[in-house]
Amino acid sequence: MLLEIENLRASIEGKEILKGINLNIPSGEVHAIMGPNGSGKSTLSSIIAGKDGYDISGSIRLDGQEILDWEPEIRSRAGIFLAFQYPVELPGVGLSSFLRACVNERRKYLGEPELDASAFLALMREKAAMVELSQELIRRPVNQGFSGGEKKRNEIFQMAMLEPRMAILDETDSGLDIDALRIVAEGVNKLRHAQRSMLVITHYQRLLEYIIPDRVHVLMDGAIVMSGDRTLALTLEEKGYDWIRAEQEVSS
Amino acid sequence: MAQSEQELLEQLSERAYPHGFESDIEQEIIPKGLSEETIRFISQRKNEPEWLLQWRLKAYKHWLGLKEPKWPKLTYPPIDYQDISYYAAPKSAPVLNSLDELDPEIKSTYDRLGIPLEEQMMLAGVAVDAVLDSVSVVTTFKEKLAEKGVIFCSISEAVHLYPELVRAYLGTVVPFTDNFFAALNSAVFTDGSFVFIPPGVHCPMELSTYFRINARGTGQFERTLIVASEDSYVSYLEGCTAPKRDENQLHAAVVELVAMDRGEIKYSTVQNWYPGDKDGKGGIYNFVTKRGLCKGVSSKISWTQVETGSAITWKYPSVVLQGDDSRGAFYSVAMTTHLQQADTGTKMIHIGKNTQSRIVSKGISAGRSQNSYRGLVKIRKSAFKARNYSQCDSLLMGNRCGAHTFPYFEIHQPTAIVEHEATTSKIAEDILFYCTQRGLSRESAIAMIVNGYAREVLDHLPMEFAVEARKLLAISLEGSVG
Amino acid sequence: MTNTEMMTKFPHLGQASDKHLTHEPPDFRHEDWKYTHFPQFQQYKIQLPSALSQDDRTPLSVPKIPLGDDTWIVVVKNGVIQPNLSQLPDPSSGISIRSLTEADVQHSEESGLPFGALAMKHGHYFSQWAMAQHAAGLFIDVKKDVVAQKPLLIQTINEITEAKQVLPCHHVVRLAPHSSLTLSEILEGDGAGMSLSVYEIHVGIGANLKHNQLQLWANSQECIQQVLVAQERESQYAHFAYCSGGKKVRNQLTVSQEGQMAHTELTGLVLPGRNEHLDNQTLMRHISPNCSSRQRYRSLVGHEGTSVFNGKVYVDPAAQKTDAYQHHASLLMHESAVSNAKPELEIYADDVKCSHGATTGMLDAGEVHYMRSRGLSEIQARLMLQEAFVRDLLESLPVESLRSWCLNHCVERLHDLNRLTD
Repeated sequence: MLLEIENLRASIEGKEILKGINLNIPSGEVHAIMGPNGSGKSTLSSIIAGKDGYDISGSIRLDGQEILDWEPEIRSRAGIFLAFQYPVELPGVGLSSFLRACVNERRKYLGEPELDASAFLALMREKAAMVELSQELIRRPVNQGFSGGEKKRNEIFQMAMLEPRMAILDETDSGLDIDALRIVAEGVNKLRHAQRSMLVITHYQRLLEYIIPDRVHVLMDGAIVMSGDRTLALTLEEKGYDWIRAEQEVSS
Repeated sequence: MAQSEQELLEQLSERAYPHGFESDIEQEIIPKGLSEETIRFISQRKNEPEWLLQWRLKAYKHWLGLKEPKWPKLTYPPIDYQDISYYAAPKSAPVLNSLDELDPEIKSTYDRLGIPLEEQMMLAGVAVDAVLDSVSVVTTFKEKLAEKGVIFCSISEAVHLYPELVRAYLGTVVPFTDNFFAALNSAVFTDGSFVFIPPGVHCPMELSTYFRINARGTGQFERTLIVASEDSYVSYLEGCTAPKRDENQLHAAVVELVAMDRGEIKYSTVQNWYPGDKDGKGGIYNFVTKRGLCKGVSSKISWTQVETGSAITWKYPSVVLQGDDSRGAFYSVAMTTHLQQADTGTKMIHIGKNTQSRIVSKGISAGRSQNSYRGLVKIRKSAFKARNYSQCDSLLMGNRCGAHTFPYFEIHQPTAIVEHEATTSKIAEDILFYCTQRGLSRESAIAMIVNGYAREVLDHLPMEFAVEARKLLAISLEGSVG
Repeated sequence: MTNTEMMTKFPHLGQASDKHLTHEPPDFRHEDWKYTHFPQFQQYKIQLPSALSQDDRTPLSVPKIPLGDDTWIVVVKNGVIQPNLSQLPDPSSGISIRSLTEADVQHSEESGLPFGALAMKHGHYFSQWAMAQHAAGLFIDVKKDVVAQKPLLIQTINEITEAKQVLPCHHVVRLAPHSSLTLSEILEGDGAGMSLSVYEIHVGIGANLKHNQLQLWANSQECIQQVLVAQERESQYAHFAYCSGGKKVRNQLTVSQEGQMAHTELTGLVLPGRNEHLDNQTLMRHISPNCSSRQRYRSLVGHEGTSVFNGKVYVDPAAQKTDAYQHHASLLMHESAVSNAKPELEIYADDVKCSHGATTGMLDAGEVHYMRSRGLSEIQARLMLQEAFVRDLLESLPVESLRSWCLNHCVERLHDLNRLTD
């Protein structure tokens, strides 16, 4: 099992947001988490990546190792990648020098030699082409002056550069028009790999038409209330989240 | 998840000042104290003409009637001007014609500073004037510059070789009556660089001076004068270091720039004087008057400074925009850590028509330091359609430091457009999280963000110095943030 | 001298906290008085408030503003309340207004009222001088939980006939917790003297004070005014200043947020005309966490007029999560107009959002041209643009009748300023 989440609870300023999440993602699988606004989807992705400020209990294991007390950069170097829902801008920090430092940190961690400038540039060119990110954007500071769609493509580009084991895509589809969505999804599909798992967090079924998940989980009020194959996403699309609420009431 | 305060404090104390060594060079140092005799001694030792001695004495008399300025946001114990030695010089060869004549110990001093006086600078295409304590010890590339008619030498030499030029410009931009420290400098200045670019000449290489305070108990009072004639261009860089000492040493320099019609001067400073230790012990008191006069039409003067050193910084590189259509610029990064205090900024005095100025100031405060921007934009009645834009940002790291912004605007011409913006903030947690999520440590993320923040200014430095400045910012920040 | 004098006079008030306090009138070498100073102040004579005879009503121009029965009015002439010209609130309203005497200050300890304490702590030279001269004035007290049913208007008329005469005043306003009041002032007068006023304003927990000052001094008059405000937690203080006249006017607004979640809003519209020098200074003291402030000042400077703005935002190490904003814009209408501005940030806490901006310029020639090409005369175009420059600031004036009166006054003033310009 690549990622194991066990009875994960999280609260912020006394308010409980995650109320006991259990989730296992085997290597090579793509899982989707769907849920209405405020269900805790983004909190879950932030906590896996190591964001500060939550009171947490439970367990998150990567390859069987507990990671909850790891700093975010160690989690990253170990292979956890989060494509942010709202990528921040880094004024004045050039995208290529930023990524070069990031890639080499990961390589050092893995015991691989650092990439020299020309090897890095070649890699960057190749991966940028994959998500149709122009060379002009690569020369700019990270996300500065990028459109919403460009920022999202930049996240997938960085994912391609860092070659993570466990990629989390937090509402990568939000704010994208249909063409941008296609480009992003194609990029993600190219990165599917037997050694790489993905957790796709989304509000709508639309993205899952492009990125076909192995499993779909429904997150409501901080807990996973239903899991199934991809048809669950279609049912949700058709019947809405109220349907699940109704089901829940019946079963309780 | 952030590092504990204690850990940070430990790292803070480990921050090394890499230029803190002291060189064992045979020195001639005069006894401490300042009087007419001191000035006569300096002047005589430098074999100066009578007019210069008289000018020094006049400045000294004026200085006696002045009081140290109290308006800056700086606190430091009173300076005892009688407890300073006003002249220190290496004993060997005061004036050199080639590098071979240089005392090997001096040369190794500069090598250790990372200022090779030969091959590397040749590769970089930079001519260097090296000032150790009070005197200029060597100037490189004189012949190559001479082919173009460019004069680049120490000011003491210039007094002898080009007396008319020196006399015509010395004290015209910063008169000795200007302020307390300028008066003191005029009375006791010992050396500095002199640059003259003839009409129509684009100076073929970067000119550079490295200042080094080495002797104990001394002050450094250098004086630099740069004249860019009609249609000429020069880019000049100064760098400064000093040994690590428990005592505070005074540095009161004056820099004067004059740009004639369409002349352009780019003046860049990487200031890394010893800042004192983590408890604020030692460090340089840096009281500097720098001013450029855009005398001719369409002339341009820009100041770019990266300030990481000194215990106390009091410095306002200014431009007087006299010629119509002239341009002035000030780009500054000032970083303070530990107990450093900086009160720095600029003055843009618009006199000519259609004059334009731009101010970009980036302050970074960490530790228990105080960092103030103080800037004046003055639009005189004659400055029809003058324009100024100022952007002053402050970055605070930790809750024991201060960041302050004191801009002054005196506008006497309605067709002028003056705009100013200032912000103060810290590095946002979500930005740090983004970087650490990509695998960067908190420290390197901060260094990268700070460099990005300063980029607009660093981009104005000549390439090779921009790289140096970038490293300097990262080193200066090491362990002082969290 | 004055600080010591004030301390001797009111020993219970403690010590001044401003170490920059001078013992003589500050001159141009003092940073805060760089652009405005009163070099001959020591030769000024004090004119203490003198009672006006009951039938001497002719010089009073009340009511200039059609306020009707919806307003409580207090008329103060040369420092003395004029009861028969005033419509004071009923005692049952929970609002009391009376004269403040030196005895109040002398015995403030017993009464538990903070008279004099703010002036002692943050008052500048002139404020402390005024206090030491037994300055009298008004005491406005709003009881706990009282929400004033009507706005209160104070009309101050100072007629100091001789130059170099100074009329000192000391007003105290206190809003008890969770009370609310709209306090407007019209300050005007004739003659050649100086009005010197100190306000001490205490805004209690959760209280809300809207304070509007319309200064309409004659251009022979001088004025020094310091408004000192202390805000408790969750309180709100909004100050609106309209300064349209005076030979030399120096207004200082010092606001301390002494409790969390306080909000301050400072707005100013300054219109100096010929030979008028109008100086507005603000000191926003953020000394508690989670507070916010917003300052907007605009100056429209006419022929031979001078505007000075000095706004300081101070953020104490304790004032984390401060959100402070300040903006000053100045429009010069003539080549003899002068604008001096000094917006300052002094910040000692790191988790803050502070910004300021300042601009100076004249009307955009392109805009004027555009409007002329649509058939407006140049003067119409200019007036329209100038009006636009002031109008949205006037929206911050909360009393409708005052706002429309002020807009009219402003338009008239702009006509005058433009006429002089041509």
